[in-house]
Amino acid sequence: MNSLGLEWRSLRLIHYSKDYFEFLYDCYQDYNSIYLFCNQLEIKSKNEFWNFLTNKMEKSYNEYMIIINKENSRPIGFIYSYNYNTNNQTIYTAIYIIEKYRRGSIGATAGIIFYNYMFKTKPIRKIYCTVYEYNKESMNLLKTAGFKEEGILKQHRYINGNYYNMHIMSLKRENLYKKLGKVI
Amino acid sequence: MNINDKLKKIIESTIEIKIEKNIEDIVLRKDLQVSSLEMLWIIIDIEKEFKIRIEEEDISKMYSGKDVIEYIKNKLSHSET
Repeated sequence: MNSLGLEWRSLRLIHYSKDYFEFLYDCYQDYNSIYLFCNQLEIKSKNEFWNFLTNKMEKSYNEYMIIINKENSRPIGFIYSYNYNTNNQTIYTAIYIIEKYRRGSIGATAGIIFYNYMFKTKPIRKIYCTVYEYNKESMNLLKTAGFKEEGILKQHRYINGNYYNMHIMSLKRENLYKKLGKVI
Repeated sequence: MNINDKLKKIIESTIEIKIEKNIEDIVLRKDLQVSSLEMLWIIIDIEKEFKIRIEEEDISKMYSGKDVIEYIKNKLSHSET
């Protein structure tokens, strides 16, 4: 299909191991950003987070990868898939990048590596991503990656006195490769 | 075509919008609503067109067309020496 593996440009994705537990714990303390996609906003102790992560790994997450900056081999984010439905051939994904690296194209690069990996290794028709209406940057990125809006759950999420819509976006296999096929 | 024209062509082709302003005056994310993925496609096309390598940390410093043109000129001058 193509030669793109789990490395591209400045990034490498590696499967989660316990070595990255502390990094993930720190990420989940970034409440200003984690609310963009995570429903469990107050994970206070490491023990609580360990239980949260273990439970999710067993019951919900499918692939969970750490995004590594190849220049210094340091983790700069994570990306994962969940709710894999083998009957419908669909899966959901989410991504988090630490703030320092959000201005460039790290998120886009990591997304491409991961989506390509998912389509290459699983019989998936569509990748879903849910994004809240206040997360304009993610919405813009998903649309340019070929994601199309499939629906809106209105006033789905309550945060700090307000309800927000959740948009359900989907990426079909052929839409990813329309542009990607020309550059890899 | 000079660097400005080539860059304008690359950006227009990526975002599929005709740019009327001087490319140097364009603020990529503000004026053209360029997403991080579109920025990545632009960078890849620039690398191919000018045969240069653009580092990730430099991409985050490129706000305007002028920044990109200066960067390309700088890279090209270093590759010639």
